[in-house]
Amino acid sequence: MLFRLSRGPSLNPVTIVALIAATATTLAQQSSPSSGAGSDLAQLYSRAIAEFQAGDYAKAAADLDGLLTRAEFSQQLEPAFFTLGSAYFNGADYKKAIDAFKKYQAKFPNGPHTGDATFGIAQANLLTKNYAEAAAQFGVLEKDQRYRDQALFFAATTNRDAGKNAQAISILEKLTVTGLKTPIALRGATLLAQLYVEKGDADKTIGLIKKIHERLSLVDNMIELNTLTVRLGDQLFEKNLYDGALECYLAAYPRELLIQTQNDRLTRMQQRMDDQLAVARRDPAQFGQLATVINQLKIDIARTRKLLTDFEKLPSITPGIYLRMARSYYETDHKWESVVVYQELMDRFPQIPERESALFGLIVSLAEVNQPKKAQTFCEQYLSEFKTGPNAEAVGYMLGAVALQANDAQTAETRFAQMLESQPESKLRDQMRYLLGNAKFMQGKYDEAIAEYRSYLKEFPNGQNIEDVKYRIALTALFSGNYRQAMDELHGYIKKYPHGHWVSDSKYRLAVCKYAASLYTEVITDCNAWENEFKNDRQLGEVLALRADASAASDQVSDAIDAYVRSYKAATTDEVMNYSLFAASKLFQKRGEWDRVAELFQGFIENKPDSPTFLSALYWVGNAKAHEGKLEEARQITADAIKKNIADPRREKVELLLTQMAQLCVKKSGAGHAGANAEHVPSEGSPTPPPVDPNVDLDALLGSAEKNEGKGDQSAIARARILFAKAELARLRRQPAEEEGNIARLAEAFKPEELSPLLLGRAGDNLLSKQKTDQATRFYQRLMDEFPKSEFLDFAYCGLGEIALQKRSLTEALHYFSDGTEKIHAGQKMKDLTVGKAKTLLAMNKLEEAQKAFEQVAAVREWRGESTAFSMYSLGEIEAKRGHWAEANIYFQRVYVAYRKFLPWVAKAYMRSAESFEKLGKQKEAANTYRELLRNDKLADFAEAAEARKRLEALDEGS
Amino acid sequence: MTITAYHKSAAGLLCFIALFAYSAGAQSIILKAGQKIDTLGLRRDGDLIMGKVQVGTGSGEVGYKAEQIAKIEFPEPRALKAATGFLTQGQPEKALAEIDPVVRYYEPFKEVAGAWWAQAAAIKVSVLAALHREVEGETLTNEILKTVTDPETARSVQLRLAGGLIRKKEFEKAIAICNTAISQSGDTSILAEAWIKKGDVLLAQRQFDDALLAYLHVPVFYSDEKEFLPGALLGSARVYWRLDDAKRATKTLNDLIAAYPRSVEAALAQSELQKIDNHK
Repeated sequence: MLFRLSRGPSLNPVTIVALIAATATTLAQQSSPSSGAGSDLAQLYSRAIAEFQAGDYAKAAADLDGLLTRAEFSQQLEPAFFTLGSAYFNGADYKKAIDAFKKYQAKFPNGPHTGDATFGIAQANLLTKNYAEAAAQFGVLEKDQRYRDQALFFAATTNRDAGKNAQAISILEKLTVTGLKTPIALRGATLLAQLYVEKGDADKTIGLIKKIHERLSLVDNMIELNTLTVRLGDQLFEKNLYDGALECYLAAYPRELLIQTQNDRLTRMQQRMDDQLAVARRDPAQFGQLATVINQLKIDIARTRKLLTDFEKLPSITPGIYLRMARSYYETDHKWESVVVYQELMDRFPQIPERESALFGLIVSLAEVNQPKKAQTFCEQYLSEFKTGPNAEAVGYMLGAVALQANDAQTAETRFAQMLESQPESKLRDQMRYLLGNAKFMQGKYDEAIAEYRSYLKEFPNGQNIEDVKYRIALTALFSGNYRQAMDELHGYIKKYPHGHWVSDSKYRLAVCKYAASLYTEVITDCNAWENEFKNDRQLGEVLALRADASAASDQVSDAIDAYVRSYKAATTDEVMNYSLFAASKLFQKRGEWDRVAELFQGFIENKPDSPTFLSALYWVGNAKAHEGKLEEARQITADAIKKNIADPRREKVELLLTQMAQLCVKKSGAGHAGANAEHVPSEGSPTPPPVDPNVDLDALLGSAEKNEGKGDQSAIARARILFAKAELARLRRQPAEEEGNIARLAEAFKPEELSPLLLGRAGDNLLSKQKTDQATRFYQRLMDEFPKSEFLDFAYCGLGEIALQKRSLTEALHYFSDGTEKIHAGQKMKDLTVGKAKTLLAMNKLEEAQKAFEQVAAVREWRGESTAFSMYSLGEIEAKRGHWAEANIYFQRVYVAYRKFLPWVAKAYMRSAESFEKLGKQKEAANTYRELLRNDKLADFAEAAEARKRLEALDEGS
Repeated sequence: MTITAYHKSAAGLLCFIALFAYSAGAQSIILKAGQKIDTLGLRRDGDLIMGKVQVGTGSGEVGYKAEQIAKIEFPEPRALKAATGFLTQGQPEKALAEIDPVVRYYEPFKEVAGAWWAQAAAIKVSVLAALHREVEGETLTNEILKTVTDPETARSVQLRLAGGLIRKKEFEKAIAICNTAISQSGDTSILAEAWIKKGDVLLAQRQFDDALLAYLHVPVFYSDEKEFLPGALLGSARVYWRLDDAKRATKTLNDLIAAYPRSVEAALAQSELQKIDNHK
């Protein structure tokens, strides 16, 4: 909306009176005392002014025109001439306004309102679409500092209205380049932003929007700016300029804040107007200038108030803005942020029309950020709230797809089956049928998967997944061990799709089928042919490994080794690389060619210096040298490898090398107790050297931790690792006290931040075993925070879980134990984590889950030992809690019958078994059980023995 | 009301200057009866709050019982912003030097509405936390909670307790404080802090996905709360890394360092970057 000119009359009564008085005096002086005409003219002027004030511009103009026709010209009539132009302008008679202002300029070339008159003429030209003239006049005004900003703004408006956007932009850039210091400059910036959008200049738009929002204090009409900001965002969004759109939406105010801010602005505007009025009352000389400001403020306040009132009647804009924000975040690859916004929309605005879109957007974003479980929950919510919603089909499909994403094939199968039934017309039926087959395949339901794929072929003979389905039928047959059928299907696929996506894999799978049929010669031939056909295929490493397997199986060991070596070099995954490398090594070892083992790993180190297997390879070089009898060389290679890496706590295999070094030192010392733990140390062919203290030997090779303590030439981690090596020496020499002492020193003499992952875990365990839980926590926490990818992370999960369990923070304990077993690869602590989880579940009285966990522990052969005894005992406890005393008793009896070595559990099991008999009313059997406990000499000092005696006495008395 | 004569003396003048060092400008007592008394300075005398008033050309003191007073209009002490600024820049010692005199000055008026004690003490709690003087911080927090009547101030102070609870692994209590603030507060700075603390709790519980969503509330909805952005960025970067998104973690950390180079979090971000680099 254009600024309305209102020069001359004002709301200020003092000023008006002063002006009227001055002009009226002039008019009164113009006539002879007898005529009375002067008095008439003065009255006419007063009336015109009153009419102007009342907003009756037509009458005011007519009276002023009449007055100026009749009155003799005088300089004193300057206000009347100017007011006449203003009256015409305000009465929208722009042609006459131009004439009147021009007349004013002719008569008063240096008058106080000359600039205002030019401004009025320019505005009148603009309003009558005389763009060229308006532009020229604004151009003149621009040089006058008083009018510069307004002139530039209106000049730009003129050009924009005339379709000259480039000129408008140029003018507005001139207006805004010096900074946004005035409200009119802010308006100019806003207009400029609009023009940038139209031009598609996103960068400049965003920059400008940011600047505008940095100067919000100068903006009076926040609603207008907010609307514009959102509109700019929409325009940018439509042009796929999502970054810019997002900037706009982020800059937009939500409803509550906008209303509050706008009310504050209105108060401020009113205050400004009151202040201007006060100034005008005090200093009438400023009337001309202030009247403009005051009138403009009055108009702006009225307009803004109306906008606010209308705005308050409208539904909230906040959900709309949030929806736009969420979409923009999504499009700019800020998927997590889009989840945040969609979720906020869902939580804060449960009843809005945008809910369906928000819910769907949330599902898509969650799926994108790999949050399948949450996505699944919202899919269900969507289908419950919007069964026939516009995205119901897509959500139905996603319900199964996200379950697949979560590797929950069972749920995926259920969901896809449900959706295929409930949405028979779904456009995604083809995809769902295909994925249903995949879900069954993933579960190992091969027959059902094949049946599903065949249903697909029948229902969608020209479906989009037809090639995949045919390939998968073959794959399913292969996985289910139907090699003959698999081969037929693979041949069928290759014939139908000779250049298909899965041809190379199919040919490899054909070779696999032949390998299964022990057709090793054919496998070798096929693999060679495959290599010729698909030279640079990523699968080459795998194919060469298969070829090597076939050669090995047909006793062509040299050929196999060559193929394995080529395989690890060509491998694109660590899995294939390690498989082939170590398979080659095993073949060398089998032939006793330890020199070739060393060569193999040295070659690997040269080939793959950045591989994570690097230090393992060094270990094997040392090991191979030792087997070759080159003990000194082995020690030197190992020592060099250790020294190069000892100061880097991230090199987790250093500890493996240290263990090897300890073994080599023990071997050299001839201490002879390398024992069962020194399995990698070969027997030496050379004569036994004179005994050497392995500790001294170790110090000589690596440096002494004690001697270097406090010196700057050895880092803390290096000293700690040497201590660890000493502990390993002690372990190998079966000196548990010394081993424990060295590990205890690790825990006490070093800060957590000085240790490597394994040492943190060992130190934490040591402290925990001494009930120093707070100190232990620091070590575990350091391991957890600083080495989240460590292979020894299970120490932290297990330790922190145990500490939480001891503190009865059961939820936290369960969290650690569950994550430790499910979310990370638990190497050394899997048994302890599973036992911990089971104990926690039992403590939480989640009997069924606890039972499953204890059964799992008891079932693992490799874990046989105390944990099995404990699990059996706990399974008895679970049955006892259920009041199933007979079942409980079976478990307790199994403990003292089958696990007699674990005395604490045997003692407890006797007691609980006897108690079970008592509960079952079998007093005699109970008494026998107590007696059996007491007969066991090894249990004589246990508290349970005393208790058994008491119970026995009680039973005897009762009988 | 008690009126005492006021004698101009050197000691009196010094007292006057000291008083205004932390409370520049007029201090007006608003009585529950509606009367407003403009004073030239205030002091506590037992049950009475004494205000120095102009009496003709001289001055005197008027005293009111605290329960008679609806509010005292104190101007906001500049030290609040200064201390917060130092804290953000990782200079807790300087922050303490700024805030401590303010806490001491307002201590006698702490139960009176309008006194800045609670706000100043709340900042001091954060400063003490930064100095690892958590026991003192907790004592002060409990003292604040006894006196505050404004629910937003109470929420803000309780949020400061959340940090200690996280360290003590009292996660449920900490989460409850955050959730209360999130559901009840209308103050964007409190909301921003609550979301960060909630992120901290969830991160400590290794609930990475939810932690990330909590941290991201701050840049998404409260980006004007600059004080909290570094914490939110650092938290979200840490979670990205835990979620195996090293690229996004690195970008977030670099953004943090570029935007808030003098913040404590920027220094921490450097070591996080090093950590990520080490694992490449």
